Amino acid sequence: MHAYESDFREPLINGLDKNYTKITDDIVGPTERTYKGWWPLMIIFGALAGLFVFCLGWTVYYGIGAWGLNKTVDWAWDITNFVWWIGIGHAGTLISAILLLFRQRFRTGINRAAEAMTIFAVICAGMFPVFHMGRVWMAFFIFPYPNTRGPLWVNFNSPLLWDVFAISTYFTVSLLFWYSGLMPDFATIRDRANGKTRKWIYNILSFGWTGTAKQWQRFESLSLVLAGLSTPLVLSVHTIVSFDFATSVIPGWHTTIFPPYFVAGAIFSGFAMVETLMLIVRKVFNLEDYITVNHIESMNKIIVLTGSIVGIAYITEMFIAWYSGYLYEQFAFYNRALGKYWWAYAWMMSCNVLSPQLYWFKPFRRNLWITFILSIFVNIGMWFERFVIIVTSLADDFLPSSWNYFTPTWVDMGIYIGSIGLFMTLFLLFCRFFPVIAIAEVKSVFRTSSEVAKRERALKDEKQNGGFVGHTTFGILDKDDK
Amino acid sequence: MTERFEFTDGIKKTLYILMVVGLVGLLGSFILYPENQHSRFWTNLLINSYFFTGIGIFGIFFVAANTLGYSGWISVVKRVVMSLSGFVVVGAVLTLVIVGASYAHLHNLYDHWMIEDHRKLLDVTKQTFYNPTFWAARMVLYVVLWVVLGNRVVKAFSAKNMNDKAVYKWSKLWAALWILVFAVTESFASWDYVMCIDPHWYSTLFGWYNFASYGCAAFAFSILLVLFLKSRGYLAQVNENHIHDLGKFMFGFSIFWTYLWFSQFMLQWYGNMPEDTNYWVKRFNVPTLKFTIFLALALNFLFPLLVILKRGNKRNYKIIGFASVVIIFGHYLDFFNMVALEPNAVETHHAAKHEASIQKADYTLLAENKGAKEAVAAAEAVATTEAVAATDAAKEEVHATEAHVEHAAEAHGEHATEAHGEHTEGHGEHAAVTSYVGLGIFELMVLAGFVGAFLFMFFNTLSKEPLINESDPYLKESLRHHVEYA
Repeated sequence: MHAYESDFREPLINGLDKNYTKITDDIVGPTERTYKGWWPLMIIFGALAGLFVFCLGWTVYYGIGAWGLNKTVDWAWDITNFVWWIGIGHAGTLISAILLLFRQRFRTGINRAAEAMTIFAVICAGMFPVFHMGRVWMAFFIFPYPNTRGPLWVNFNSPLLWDVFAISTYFTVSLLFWYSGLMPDFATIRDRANGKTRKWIYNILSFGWTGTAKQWQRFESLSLVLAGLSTPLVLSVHTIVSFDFATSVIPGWHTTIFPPYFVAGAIFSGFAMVETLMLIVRKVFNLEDYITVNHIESMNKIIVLTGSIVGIAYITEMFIAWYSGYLYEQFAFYNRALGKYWWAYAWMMSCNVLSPQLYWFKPFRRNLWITFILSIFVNIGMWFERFVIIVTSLADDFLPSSWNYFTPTWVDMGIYIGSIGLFMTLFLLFCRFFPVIAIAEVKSVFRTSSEVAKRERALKDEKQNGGFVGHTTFGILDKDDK
Repeated sequence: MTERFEFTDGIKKTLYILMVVGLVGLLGSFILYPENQHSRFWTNLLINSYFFTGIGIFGIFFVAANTLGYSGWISVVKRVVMSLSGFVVVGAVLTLVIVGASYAHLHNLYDHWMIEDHRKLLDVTKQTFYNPTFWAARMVLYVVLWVVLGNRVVKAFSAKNMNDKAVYKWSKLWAALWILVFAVTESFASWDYVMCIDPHWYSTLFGWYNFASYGCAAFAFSILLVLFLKSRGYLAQVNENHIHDLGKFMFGFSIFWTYLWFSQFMLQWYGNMPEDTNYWVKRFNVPTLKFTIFLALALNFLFPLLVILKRGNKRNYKIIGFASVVIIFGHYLDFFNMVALEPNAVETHHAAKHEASIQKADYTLLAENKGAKEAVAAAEAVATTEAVAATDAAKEEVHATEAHVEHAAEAHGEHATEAHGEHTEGHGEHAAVTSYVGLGIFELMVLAGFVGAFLFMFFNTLSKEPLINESDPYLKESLRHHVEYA
């Protein structure tokens, strides 16, 4: 174990009253009672989820004509929303897998909720291409299987088909990762449960976890395998989403920087959404000691890093478009910034590139209100990024006679707002019934990174130097810890 | 813990021998290959200067990134990684030599736009960006920033009282500044050193792709040098856990490089637009280059995937050391593939003419679309058609001769002189001459020489301060470092 940690690191679990029991109490507590305000929120977002279902039903009944698409812009909010949600669905697996590989211990405070968010975001994302098919009952046509429709196979050369594989694989692995991590925590809830039914339900959810050494051993190797699998997966998903555009020869889409830049953008928006949600969760559930300002600051550093990568990519694209001397490319970028959708471009630039630059300064990184507002800005900016890329390139195509303007209908808007309702409904259910912080994982950093451990280490040092400090409180340090 | 590396005469002697080999290689390629203004000499000089300078600035970048990311493990190997930057000053001087020689028309590396007649044929945006003075100013700016700021940042990272929170905080500010400067300069530098050799081709990914390439080589050099120092009895504190972590980065960057290689290649292949595929077609038409492109892919992707994915292999000094050598060579090849073709197998500036005529056609179309009144002169239109036709003919010729470089170049030459005799003067001397495009003995000798110079500068920098900074606040973590998983 890493028993030693430099004093230069801030604690990840605050409060000198913490011990293993207290951690369990604090995290499981919210699943044992309904918080004030949960029902009103549930009703609001449940109603929005209802709107989602209604608008999708309307689309199926009426046809895709219910959307604001026209013959020039044949992809607009639907694909924008799809890419936006998929991007948001990147933070969870990034935190679980890649931050695990980088040994970033701050991930333990936020990985559970981020993974849950990933699952819900991917569910929302998946709805858009499926319903864009129009005849949604034919959705199974996207699977390649020998069929009775003649030698009719899916188009393996199409990145849209690669999306089917990439996203379904990503969803499966993320779900497995999230759920397997939940098993020991469900067992903890079960062991404290009062009612018989509650005990029974959480026992089933935990797959009868008893916490034997063998189970932990298997659990650890499963986590490692899943982390190894999901690291390339998390990168591949948004890469393939970017291929949807970059393999085409549409000016503004066909550019080689798209894959890494889309991935950076996805991480950017994913972390922003994690911040938006976690800032509320930590307040409502009194988890400020586990999701500390230190956690928020670390996430803000990732925001400024990925935001700047995205910014460099925007500028590179624009520069190369100018440099290339390729007239259509030049026009596409000129049109993006100064054309009829200039307002969308302005939103994108100010929210994604300019606003995160505040995070170069520590006071901003550690200010919760600024973080909350900026996280929402980033979410808005990333939505506009996809809108700008998709709609501006399509709306003014090669033939000026077919140039067109996209205006969303109420169905477009209903589906988008409704998808947020669906997402929030699922997230509220998760908060009510599941532990929002990975109990076992947070406990694993208690001995090294908590304020208690740091205090004890300091006391021990003092003692060694001859001062009288009384007895140490919990004896949580390793024997070899000096 | 205050041990210092002693730069012994024995090591120096070996490095001098390597450098002499390199000098002989440079001289040999200069004397024996006078074609195209000694292009073989100059390409070798450019490839190696750029490659090793990149490794140097990446060394600072990696330490800066770890400083900002609160890495503890890196503490014991920090000085080794940082000292890679010792070569940057040499690279800077060589860059200035290349820039100066380009100005004096002593080599043809940047002839596409360094010669005014040729530049005129480029699109106006490229004429602006590759205005020789503007370009030279940028090149000077990069190397000055890298040397001056780089030294300052390295100094901040080596502070003697790093456990003082104020000093530590300053090292983070310098790290942040370096990352910012590095991100912008390395992207632009990749265009100005390499992409501009063939100004007709462009890829938005190019800067990041270059970054990944010398990144892999920087990790490989770090691993090899740590192993070397250990074999000499230094750095007893470094164990297989630190090597494992460096190995993971080398592996991760190899996969990242492959990801970018694939993204660039696949998107251009799939899009199949002439301005994109031109770059690849030209290279694949030269059998030796086609071979080295796939060799680089094998060495930089398949080899690490098969050999260093496994935990045990990353912790085995022999295997990881061997893998590092292979990866350094593989990424050298990558830069070779990017640079070697254009200056050595000089095509005429036929393609430039082609670009200009396409441009004219585009503007004509746009003017018509917008309903603009001013008609485009008929004579110009005729000229355009002729140029396009001539280009097509030349292209057919290229395909017909099936990838024989010399023939291809000759064919281009003839057509160019025929079609644009009156517009383009003095192209004959550049046309139809092909020097050696391939990896030969001189390339390997020059590479060896640069390795010698690189290591000389490295050891020289390393010997100036203790190998481990005792005041590093994370030193204790690094000493106790143990990789639990993966």
